[in-house]
Order: sequence, then structure tokens, then C-alpha cells
Amino acid sequence: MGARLLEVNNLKVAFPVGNVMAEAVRGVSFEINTGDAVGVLGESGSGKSVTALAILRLIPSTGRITGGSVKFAGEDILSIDEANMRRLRGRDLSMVFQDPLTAFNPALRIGRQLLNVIRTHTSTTVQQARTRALEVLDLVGLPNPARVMRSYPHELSGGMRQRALIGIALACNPKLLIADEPTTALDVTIQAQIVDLFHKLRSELDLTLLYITHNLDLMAELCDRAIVMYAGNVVEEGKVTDLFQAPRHPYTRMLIDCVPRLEDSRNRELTVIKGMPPTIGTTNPGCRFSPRCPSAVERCHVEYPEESFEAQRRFSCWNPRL
Amino acid sequence: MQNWGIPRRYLLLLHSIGASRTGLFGFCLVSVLALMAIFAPWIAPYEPTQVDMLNRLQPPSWSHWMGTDLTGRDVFSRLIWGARPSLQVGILAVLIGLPGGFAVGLLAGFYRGTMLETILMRIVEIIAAVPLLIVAIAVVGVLGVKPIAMGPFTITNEIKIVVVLGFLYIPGLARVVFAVAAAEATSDYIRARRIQGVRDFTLIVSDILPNCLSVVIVWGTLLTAGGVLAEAGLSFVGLGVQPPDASWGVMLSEARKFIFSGEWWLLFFPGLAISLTVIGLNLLGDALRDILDPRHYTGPRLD
Amino acid sequence: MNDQLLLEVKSLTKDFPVGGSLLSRITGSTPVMRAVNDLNFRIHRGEVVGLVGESGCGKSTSALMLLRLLNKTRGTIRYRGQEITELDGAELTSFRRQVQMVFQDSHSALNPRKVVRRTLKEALRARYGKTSDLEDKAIELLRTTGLGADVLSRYPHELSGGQRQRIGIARAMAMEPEFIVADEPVSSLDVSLQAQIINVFQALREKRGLTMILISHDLALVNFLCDRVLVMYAGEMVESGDSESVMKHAAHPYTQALIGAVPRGLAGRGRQEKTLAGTSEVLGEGCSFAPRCPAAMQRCHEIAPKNTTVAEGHTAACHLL
Repeated sequence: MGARLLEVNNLKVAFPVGNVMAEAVRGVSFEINTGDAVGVLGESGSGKSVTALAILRLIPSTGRITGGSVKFAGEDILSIDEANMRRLRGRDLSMVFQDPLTAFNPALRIGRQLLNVIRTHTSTTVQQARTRALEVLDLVGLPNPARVMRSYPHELSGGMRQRALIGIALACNPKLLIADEPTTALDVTIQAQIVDLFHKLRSELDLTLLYITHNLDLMAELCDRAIVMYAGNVVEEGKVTDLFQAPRHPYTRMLIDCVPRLEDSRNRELTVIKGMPPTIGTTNPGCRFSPRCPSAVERCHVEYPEESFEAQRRFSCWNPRL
Repeated sequence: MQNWGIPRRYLLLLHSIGASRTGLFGFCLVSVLALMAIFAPWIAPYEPTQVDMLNRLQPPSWSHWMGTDLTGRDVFSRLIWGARPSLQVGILAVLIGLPGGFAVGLLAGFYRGTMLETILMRIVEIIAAVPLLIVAIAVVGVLGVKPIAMGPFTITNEIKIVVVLGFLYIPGLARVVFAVAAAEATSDYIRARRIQGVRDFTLIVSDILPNCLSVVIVWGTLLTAGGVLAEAGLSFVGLGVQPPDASWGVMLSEARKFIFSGEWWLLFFPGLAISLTVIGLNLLGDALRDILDPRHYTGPRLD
Repeated sequence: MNDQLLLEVKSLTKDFPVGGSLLSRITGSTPVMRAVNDLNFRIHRGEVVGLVGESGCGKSTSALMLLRLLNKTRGTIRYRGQEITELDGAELTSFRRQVQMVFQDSHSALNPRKVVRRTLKEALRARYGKTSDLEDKAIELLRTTGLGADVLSRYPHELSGGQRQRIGIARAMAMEPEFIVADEPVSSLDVSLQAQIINVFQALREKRGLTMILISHDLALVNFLCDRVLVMYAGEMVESGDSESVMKHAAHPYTQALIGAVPRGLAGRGRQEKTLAGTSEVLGEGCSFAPRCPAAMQRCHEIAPKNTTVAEGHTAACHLL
């Protein structure tokens, strides 16, 4: 267990919907210590990607961070100026996005894009940068790194592109790597390769990882702790083993049960969560999951649940399963 | 909203044009010019061909707001009357090119990958390579500039230009429609209709054609501007409207002799009219494209 | 469940021309990419069969051929005993009613410029002709997929992915089919919504006795819904059999790798399973999986393996067997 690396406190992000600003992230708090692998679990509309972008201060210009703080290695990064933030991005704080094809500049070779990143953030000679680039491509398991350097993004397969992307993100030895659904666009066998790569990177580099996904089983394999987000809030947080074996929040529990699994018997009933996640812009005073929650009581609809704490976990629910 | 028979989205369209300042400006410009052309006989203070040699080459004054030209005709009146051939050519040429361009684009797009598409698009490319001026000269060379009487019809020079122009517009329209049709033709909802047993012709007409209307409207606006310019250009070189009839191109042509002698109003006003018309149409076209394409065209992209 | 054979596919092959010039197209010597190679299977009434594989394996191409949306290069596809590419007139109309498809939800599954009412009424009109109670029928269709009449006036972009998918199912059901091909029907949906759509399919299956092909890359889903599974790799069927048999006793190395790649959740923590390297590029002779196969022998690179029976109703094409 290392030092406190990232501390997010009551983060709020809003986007314009029609004429008003509507909150996509409604007060999210969590911490990451060096060496952790923390998962962010949520579906569309949960605010998980926006949270990541907010940490990197890459929210599209229409949106705004409307509250809260983000401390990275002790420094409040929401208040530093853009020039300093740029220095952090790519060097200490890095991100891997979902779609490897659009994350690359299609007109430049991989090598050029990789070298750009290295030379922007570190003062090395071209030769040193090249060496580092080849090192990095080898680290992410790309066979024939020299050839990859010379290739254009479209010449690589999806899996190789994603590896290259991870390579770029790691080129300057970041303290924290945020991965936003890095395997969603990939085939299952390629996904497994990438997950293996993350395992390896964690153990070899002692990489601190924030892994965003909607795939619970994937997250459970890779991460030690996780936060579960729903409609802009953190509804539960805890060790992955606790979350799976004894989920407290009904959403967490139903999310686990509504997915078919290979080990299941063929007759298992799939739990169905009725209804749809709320769209950005709608509000209700109580718990946002209450309209769909089978365990909802009166209080859930009118009052937002206080956080309850247990050993190494927390959740927001008036009527949790204990 | 009450059911006026107009689909809701067209009313929204008009409202959106109003919301965009440049679109509104373009729309107003075009409307003013169109009204000018339509109501010319009532608005123009003088007859456009009314000669008055005593008052020739007069600068703008209270009796002649835009001055008089080399034979004493009122520039303002000629300008108003001149709007007619300009807009007529612009609009009619698009209307002539539209059926051809639309049909070719739809068929080529729907049957993309087949021999039909190859043939159609090669023909389109050949037409596209033809320069307007050369063809206009050739047509006029063969048919002459005077009106031709053909039975009950009189083919004026203007009609000749319109036909030539319309024909040459086919490639532009066809390509634009082709892009949309080709993209839509591979979409899943077309497949879904096919497996309902719907025939190709029905698919093209009831599913693909409506989805192409937006681009055709936008492109048509821009082509109209092109037509206005073409008319001016052809009339300028003597292949279009013939003097003493008024058209902006003719007016510019007649003003050529007076560029350096100080009678600025002979060049300025027709030039201004052409510019404003083209600007107005372009702004309107831009606004329409912004409104129609991203928001409504949420369909598949060509890939 | 009576044993009527509904669909019989034999030696189905599809080649796509790649590159080549106008000349080569005329002479017929354009190089081709073989998307589907010698596919064979049968489906009986009431079965739900899963077609599993990763991107590029040819499952969607096969589906399109089954619906006559794509021409086949070789082979036969017989529905109720008749070759579907020879159907015409009334027989074709009949086929179009009996076999329908549910598409992967994307922007292109519903016409973005038509309201739901129009999309459904068109489908109903294709089935029933111009009758007066189309609106009622449309509402009833929506109800069977769990939607209310309020979506009738909406455009697709005003609806959620789950709603759009239900409408796609409703549209397919408008033809009152007995056979449905569902191509990745839930993969673009949120996890919590997938279960809803899966339930819709379950209900349809139970109430209407629908026969289905479910195309998916999601093994767990296929295991859940399907009686039988066909595993495809690089255009070929490498294994087929009862879901239980295939999932628990996979015989082909690719199937094993596929099963091994599925995230296991807590049970998968700390496992150092050797994952499958490489990508599915097809080379020349021999087993198409040989380049990536951890158990490949010399023979595998030279001769294409034939189907061997592994257990009752369970076959796989591999030299190891």
C-alpha cells in the first residue's frame, strides 16, 4: 500500500442541456494509492468517462467542472494553469482511450507519434527517444517494434493498435494510468491479451491503474478495489472480492446477477433491472436508482442516501442488503 | 402543432433558418431579389428599354436613382428587370438538371458495385469534364442567338442557356445524391425492408429518395447561385440575353466601355446585384446545410 | 418439439473479390477473399442455435446469405426443403414471411427519418396488405416487446438503444416469422439492458415456438440462450454441438482459447492462463487456425482437418482428434 496518489473529492461536472447546465458527475469522491488497481464500474450515463476526463482536465469545452477538487501527488490540479497541466498529461498522468483507431492521427506513423510524446515531456536526444520508443513497444508485447514504428495506424490490427496506444501512454513512465474501456472495441481473445498485458505491466512496473469498464468480470480479474457509479454518483465502493461476494447496494447486486456467465447452469434466471438509467438533465431528490430498485422504500424516493461505512467499503443506500 | 399538412420538420427548418443570423440574411436577400423579379413591372419606374438620348449617361439622381446608361435607359429599372433572367436561369437550370441528376445518383448509389453504377458514373464524369463556355459557344454557333420558332414555342437564347446549364448540372447533383444513396443502400433498415419482400423500386422511391432530399435542397441552392453567375457571364460575352433586353450580364457588358471614363454607376449596380444574389444564395445554402445535415442526417456515413 | 428440419446448409461458400482491375473482372481472375468456407449445418424447428466467433469469422456474412441478402458463391441453402436462391413469386413471398432478421442496433437498423409508427406500419403492410387495423396491430407488436404506444410518434434518435432494439424485434415479428436470425442483438446495449432484451427473446421463444439463430461473440450469452452452438473461425466451422457439451468439453483448440479468454470475475484473479497470441489472418493450406494454435503439428499446416465426432451430436475439425 503506497502513498496517496490521487484524491478526488466531491467532483462535479456539468454540461449544457438545452438552456441549463445539467450535472453529469454529481459529487464523486475516491482515492487511489500508489500501486493500486482501482476499477470504475458503470454503464452509459454513469459519468465514469466524464470523471476520468475531468481528472485530466480534458472535458469538452461546453462542459465545466462545477465543484470539488482533484489532488494528484498532493497538488491540486484543478487550479493549476493549462501549461502546467500539459506538463502533467502524458508524463505523470496518462490515459488510454476506448477506440484505438480514432485515438491515433491517421496521417502520421506510429513512431512519429510516439517520439512526439517522448520528446515533448523529456529532454532527450532523438537517439535516446528512439531507444526509449522501441523499449516501450517491446514492453507492450509488440513483435518487431521497429516495423511498428514505421507503420501507420491503419496498417496495424485492432489489438496491436491498442498495445501501441498503451505504449504511448507509458512512454514517459506515468505515475497513474487511466484506461477508459480499453478493450471494448476488441475481440474477446484480443481482450484477454490486453488484460494479460495490464497484469504484466502492473507487476513489472508497479503501475498504478484506474480502469474504467462496464464489464464486471473483467474488472474483477484486474482490479483490487472498485467504485460503482450510477447516474453521476458513486453508489458503492470496496474491495472487489467484497463487492462480488456481498454487494450492499441493490444496483451492484443486480448488475452482477443480470449478466449470463459460462459457469451458470442453463436454467438460471437472469435478474432484470427494469426501466432505463436516467438521462442527464433529469433530477429527483432521492436516490437516483430508486425508480428501478426492487428494494426501494419511501425514503429512497425523497432523500438522497447518506453514505454508510464498513470496513474498507462504503455505499449509499437506505435499504441495503446486509 | 396543428396539422397543416406540412411535416413538422419543415416548419422546424424555417424556424432554424431564422435562428441563424447568416441564414436569415441570406434568406432575406434572396427573397428581396425574388420579389423584385416577380413584381418588376410594378416596381420599375421606367420601361427597361425606354431610350432617352437627351439624358444619357447621367449619374444617380432623384429622377434616376441609379443613373442612366449609354442610351438613356434607367439603370434602376433595368436592374430590376434584369433580376428576371438571372433568377430564371438559376432556378430553371437546377430544375432541368434535377431529375437527371437525382435519377442517376439514386440508381448509381443503390446499385453500387454493379456494372450499372460504373456506366452511369463514367457518363457523369464525361459530362462533368465539359466546360460550360465551350458548349455555350458551340450551341449558339449552331443555333444562332436569335430566338427560334419551333411550332407554337419560341426558343429564346435564355432557354438555350438554361438547357445547356441544366444538363451540365447533372454531374454535381448526381455525385451528391450518389454519396447519400450509396451509404443508405447498405444500411440495415434497407435490408430489413428487403426481407419484408419489398421490391427495389419501392425501396429507392420510398426510403432512399426522401433521405436524399436534404442534400439536394442544399446543393440546389448553391447551383442556383452558380446559374446566376453563369447567366451573367454568358450574357457578358454575348451568348446569353441579347440587348436591348436587360440582364445584369448585358448591363456589365455595355458598361465595359465606361470603366475608366468615370461612369461608375453603370458597373457598380449590376455588379452589386450579382454579388448580393450569389452571396445570399450561398449563405442560405450554408445555413440549410448546417441545419439539414448534422442534425437530421444522423444516418450512416460513406465508408 | 417436433423434429421438422427447417434449415439445411451444405458447403456454403462466399468469396469476395479483392482489388483486381477491370480486365481481371472480365476475365474472372480477380483475387478473392474467402469469407465463408464450406459451411454445413442443420436446424430443426424449435431449436435455438448460437453462431459464435470473433470479428471477421464470417458469421454475419453467413447470416446475410441465409436471408438472401447476399449472393452465395457455392453451396446450397434449403429452407423447408427448397433452395432459397431459386424461390420466386409466391414461394419467395412465403419465405420472406417465415424468415426474419434482427439487426445489431446501430444507427442503421431503423430509418432515421421515419417515426416508429411508419416503420412498423410498413412492415405490417408488407405482411397483411392495406387493412384498416394496422395501428392496432402495431400497438400490439410493441406490447409484446414491452413497449408502450407512446413510442409510435418518436424518431429513432429520440429513443434509447434498448427501445430501438425492441422496435427492431417488433418489426421482425410483424411478419409473423417462424425463424429468426438475430445478429449481435444485444452487444451495443448496456449490460443492464441486455438482460431485458434477452428476456424478450426468451418469451418469444416460449410463447411462439420460434426457431432462432443467435449470432454473437459473447459465449456466456450463447451458452445461456442456445441449445446448440456452432463455432466459426476464419470462415469455417471448427466445432459444433450441444451448448453444454461444447462449453464444458470443448474439443477444438480455438474453442478452448475462446472459452479461456472469457473474463471469469473473481475466479479469474491471479490466473496465468496463456492467452492466444496473434490475429486471425488466413494463410494458405492446412488448418486456418494452425498459425496460432498452441498444439499445431506439421500436419496441421499442410492438410485441412475434417470433422470428427467427439461426442453425441458434437463434432470438431482438428487433427488432434
